[in-house]
Amino acid sequence: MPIETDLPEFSTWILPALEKWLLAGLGLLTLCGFVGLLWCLLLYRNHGWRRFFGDLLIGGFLDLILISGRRIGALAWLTVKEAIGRRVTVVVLIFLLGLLFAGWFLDPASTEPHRLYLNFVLGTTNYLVLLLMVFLTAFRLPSDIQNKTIYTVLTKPVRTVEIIVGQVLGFIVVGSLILGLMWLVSYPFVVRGLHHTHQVNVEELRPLGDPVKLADGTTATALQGWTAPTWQHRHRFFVDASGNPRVDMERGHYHPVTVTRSSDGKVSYVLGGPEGQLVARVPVYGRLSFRDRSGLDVEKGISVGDEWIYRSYIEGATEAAGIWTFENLRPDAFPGDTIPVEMNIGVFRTHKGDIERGILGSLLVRNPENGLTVELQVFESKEFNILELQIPKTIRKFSSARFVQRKAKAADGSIQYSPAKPVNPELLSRAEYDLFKDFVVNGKVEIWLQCLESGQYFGMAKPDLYIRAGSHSFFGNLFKGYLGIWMQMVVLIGFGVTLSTFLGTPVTLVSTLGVMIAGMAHKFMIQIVTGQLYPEVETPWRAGPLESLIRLILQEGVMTDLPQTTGIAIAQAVDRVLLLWMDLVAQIIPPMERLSLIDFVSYGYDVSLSLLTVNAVTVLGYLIPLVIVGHFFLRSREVAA
Amino acid sequence: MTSRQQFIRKIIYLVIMAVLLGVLAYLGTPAAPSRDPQKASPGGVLAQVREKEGLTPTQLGQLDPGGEAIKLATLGMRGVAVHILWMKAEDYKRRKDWSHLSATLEQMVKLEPHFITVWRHQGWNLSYNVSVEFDDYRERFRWVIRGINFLKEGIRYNEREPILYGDVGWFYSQKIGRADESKQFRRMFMDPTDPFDIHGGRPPRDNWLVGKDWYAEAERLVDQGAILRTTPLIFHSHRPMCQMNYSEAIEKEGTFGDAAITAWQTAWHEFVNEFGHRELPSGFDDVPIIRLYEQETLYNQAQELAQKIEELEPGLREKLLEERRQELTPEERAAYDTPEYDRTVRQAELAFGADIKMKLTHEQVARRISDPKKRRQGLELARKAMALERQANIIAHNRNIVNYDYWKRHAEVEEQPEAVAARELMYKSEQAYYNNDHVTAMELFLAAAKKWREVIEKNPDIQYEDHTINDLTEFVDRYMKILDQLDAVFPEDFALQDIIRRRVRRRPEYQAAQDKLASAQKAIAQKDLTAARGDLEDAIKQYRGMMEFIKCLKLLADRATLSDMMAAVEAYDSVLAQVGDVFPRNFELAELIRLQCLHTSELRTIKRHMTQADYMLMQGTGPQQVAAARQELEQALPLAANLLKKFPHLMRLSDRRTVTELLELDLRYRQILAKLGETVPQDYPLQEFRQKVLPVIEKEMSEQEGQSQPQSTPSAPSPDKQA
Repeated sequence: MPIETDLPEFSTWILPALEKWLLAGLGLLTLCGFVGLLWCLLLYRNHGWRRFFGDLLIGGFLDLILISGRRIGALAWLTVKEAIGRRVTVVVLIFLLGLLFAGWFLDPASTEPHRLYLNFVLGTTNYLVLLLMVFLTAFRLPSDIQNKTIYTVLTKPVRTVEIIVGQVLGFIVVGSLILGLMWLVSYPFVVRGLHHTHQVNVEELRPLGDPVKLADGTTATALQGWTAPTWQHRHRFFVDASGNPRVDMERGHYHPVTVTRSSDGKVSYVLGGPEGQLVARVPVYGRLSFRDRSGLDVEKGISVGDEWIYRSYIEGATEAAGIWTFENLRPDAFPGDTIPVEMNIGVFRTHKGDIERGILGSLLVRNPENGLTVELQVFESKEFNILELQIPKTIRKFSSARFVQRKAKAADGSIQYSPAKPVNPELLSRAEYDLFKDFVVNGKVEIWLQCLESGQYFGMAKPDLYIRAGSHSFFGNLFKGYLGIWMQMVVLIGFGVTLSTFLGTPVTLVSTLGVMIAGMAHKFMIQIVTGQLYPEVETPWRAGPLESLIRLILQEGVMTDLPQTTGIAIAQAVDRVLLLWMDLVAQIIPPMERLSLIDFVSYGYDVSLSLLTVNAVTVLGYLIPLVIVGHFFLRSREVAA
Repeated sequence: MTSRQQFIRKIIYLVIMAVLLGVLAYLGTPAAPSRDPQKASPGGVLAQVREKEGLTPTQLGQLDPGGEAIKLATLGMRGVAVHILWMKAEDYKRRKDWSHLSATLEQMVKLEPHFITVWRHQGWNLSYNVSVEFDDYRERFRWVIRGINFLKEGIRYNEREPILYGDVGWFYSQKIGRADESKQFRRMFMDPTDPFDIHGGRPPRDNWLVGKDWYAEAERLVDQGAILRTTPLIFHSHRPMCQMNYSEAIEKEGTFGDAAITAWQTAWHEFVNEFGHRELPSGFDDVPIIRLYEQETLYNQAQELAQKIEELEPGLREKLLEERRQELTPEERAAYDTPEYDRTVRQAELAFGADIKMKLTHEQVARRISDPKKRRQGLELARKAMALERQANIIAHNRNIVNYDYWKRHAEVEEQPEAVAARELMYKSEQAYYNNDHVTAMELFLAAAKKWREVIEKNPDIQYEDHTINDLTEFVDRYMKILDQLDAVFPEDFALQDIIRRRVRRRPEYQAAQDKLASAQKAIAQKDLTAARGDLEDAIKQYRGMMEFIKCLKLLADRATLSDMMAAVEAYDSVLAQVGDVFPRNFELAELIRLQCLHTSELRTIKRHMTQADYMLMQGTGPQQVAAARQELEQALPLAANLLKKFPHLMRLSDRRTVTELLELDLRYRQILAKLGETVPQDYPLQEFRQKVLPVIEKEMSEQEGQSQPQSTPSAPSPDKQA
């Protein structure tokens, strides 16, 4: 799964994030205080603005402290009842209708049908629930304010913060119920939608290899063939000499096979449903570095001219390698005799070579301290497929054992070698190694990947190779995917309710919708502001809306410089201000893309607790100031009234 | 405003609304079809125009309720939605997210099912751009088929778009049949289990024939009046070309005999009788419609009229031609008189200019008729003849675009049993080579060359065509691999030498070499040996360069060219003899001389005798063994003398490896004589050779040693290293 920005680790993320949040919060408070003061001064200059401001400020803070859970609960329940009264359950019907007609559009014959199905159900849920919340939040408070029914609530001994929190909580409960229903319906839909099987014609199976003598003295021959095609794919079918059948992995899945015998002794094979498609792999990622063709450590590999610079490439039949350094590895984390390593690398050929097979590569393990390196196995690459290799804990089969030094260029230009001294030669002549004793040092080990064929290249990024620490339940992972949608929903509810405290219905609707859309395009906004929209261009290109408009009219591309006229200089100056504003907005808008966990679920990777915690804390980080801001806005209206 | 005024205003508004509604109804009432014709309504003006022009949704293709629903759901922002989807598709393609790309394309076409460009562009995108992103050829093939299926989906909604059918035909035929992986693609296409569900349960057919069927369907639509959005000439040539390519493909894969002959006959028939006879727009206003087959007929008719002009004043044309001929320079005349395919590059340039000067129109002839009445007649005939020629020229121009003449002739030749037999022999020769049976491969290759000679004799015109020359050159170059394996050269009577010779004469290097040779001869005559040497070295360099383009010359494929090159070597030898120098160490044609020497019986026998002598001495160094070794070497000595007579330039070290071998022979003989206590006889055949060559070799070796003293000595090339 391509992960273009590093996933944050909660333990290292929390303190800097908290620091930034507190600073931002302080800044926001100061700004709000200043704006509030100004507002009071302007509107109530002759009517005791000081008292008004004091009442707003002190009363507002007291409200925040003296909050009542019981009243919040009651208001939340009221919100839930009203929402149900507004027939929010219709959205579930729309979702079900979508699922019913989804079969017209979802192609099970595609190369990754599970991704299509999962993206569809999660994507549809995402949009439906978020839009529902946009409408619900937009129509609730402003209509109360407009119809003045809000005063019936305000006259009760209810604090404004309790109204805000109650509404937020109420909407969260409604959204959670709807999401929960959708989650329960999605699972069987996906599983049923992907279910298929294949036929095997026993007569078409052919012998594979020479006859083998079995334990009971008889001889038998292994068989091979193909299953019948279903959904534009088929599997290689094998029966070993003992009569045990299996099918190969194809399109990310395989089928369990059962052997049946008829009354006249005829053997037939029945394939079950697909397995291996709906998974939740638990990856352990390492740190990636590169070695160039002369053996020198470099930050990045070669570019082969691919527009997407996610992957760097290493040259084949040279010393070039991709090096993943793993840390905190413990033997008990990997039950069994082997450690599974999975990879999904890119391939680039400068000449056709033998197109009947993939490019050969080799997997090596290295001790980072003493440089002991063994070449474990040679594999055939397969692009856009996850290749699973096993590193045995007891290494007996290896092509070579040697001492490999890392070479790095120091600041003064000299080459530094690591380790400086060669390993004990006796170590190189052993027939057997223990992975954790001989290669893992304080939990740290290096896994190297090399391309073996001259003129060919392997492309790799950090998440392209990982150690698979087992799998979690797909059902649970799907739940986490919905949790991601839930978090987006919570943030949007926060914005919707806050905006509704001082805007009318239509403006709240459009504004909340705007927050949602901007949040979905958050990464794009950041790229425009930082000039990282075209990462392949060396100098970041940062241009605002006016310059972009000028370029559109003049048909000038991003690579050409505009003529330096007065008009263009003015436009660029204005753009700097607009970009500043856009930067500010980008910092405020919630990163809805980052909160979404759909890709993890559809690609089949478990969502880690760390990531969930980071996202949850992020959501809380938005919600708290939103509630406070919303409380003060509503209080100001109350006080004004 | 009073209430009365308000009322009147409302009435006016109502009247305007009624009038506008009426206009709207007249223009935009939808058609109301019904089983009962009396109840059916044709609808408003727009509905009737749509019906007439075939633009109603049901006439365009199948209806898609899902697509219509999605279009409605965009609330009028369909264009924006498509824009966003297109951007997303490009992003998914860039990030190699193929599942999302496919899904996005599906969404895109739901919104714009009748926009043909979307189907064509994205179909091409899938089959050509996305497929090559995969390393595994099986995945590439899968995506090629996806692109084809995508187009077929487009045809469902646009049943009267022949360009879509044509694109499907192109993808089936060209993408599968011409890709780098065509061998693998065709194999998968013809897989009887049909894992990609291409053939819909029917037995698999060749991809070229499947493509041809799609083109046929496209042509049927065009013939029924559907709009063709591309050039008709090229469009209609695709179908017969599929048959041509099919015929070539099956021969390449080993199908010959009646099947191949029938395939080529079908190709000829479809190309000439069907495509050639089809009415096509010419692209010229004065001759709007043409038929490609008519060119010869029109030219003949024009010739008949020209003959009639000639009869008005016999001999006038020849007289006028002779006048023009006199205006040519002698070189132009010689070039003009040389047959076109025998011209050198220089001659071709001169002949082009001469053609322009010699051009004589019918009108120009008619104007020179002395009798006024006959002149008027002649001018009328000339006008008609020129009109016919104009038409024929337009047809010729269109024919050139599709290479009509070549393909017509190609099919005519290929359907002949001799040609099929020649290709079969070529195929078998290649198979033998790949099975490491090089001897059989060579025999079959020579048989194939002889068969091709029969084909050329039956169809002499084909030997002048570039395509034939290129085809046969490729064939000859493949034979080189076989010769290489067997350490052999082309036989002296190789059947296709004239083809190679023709190719040689067209090379600019050959022309340049001949010019330098001529210049060197002049310099020799003027005793300017320095200039002669320089010219000869340039000429030899040009020959060397030419051999890089026509590699088979390195294995003596054309003896005539070899003679030209050896003539240059001999001239160079004579100049070196006069200036008292030897051939340079990196002499450009040393390898060629070496190859010739290696394939002489003399050098082969010399080597055998030397090996035998060594063997004798390995048995022991007693008098018997030494005498036997001496005998062996003495048998080799006259052969060495013969070799030096055949290649006298060896005396000036034209090929150092052969020279080193002969010196080796001399050295061993002297060693044996020394052992026996004897001296070299007076009539020793290698005396002069030794006296001339040994000092030079010794000097060169000491120079080499001196250069290599401070560093590690580079290994000198072994005398036994093959060319």
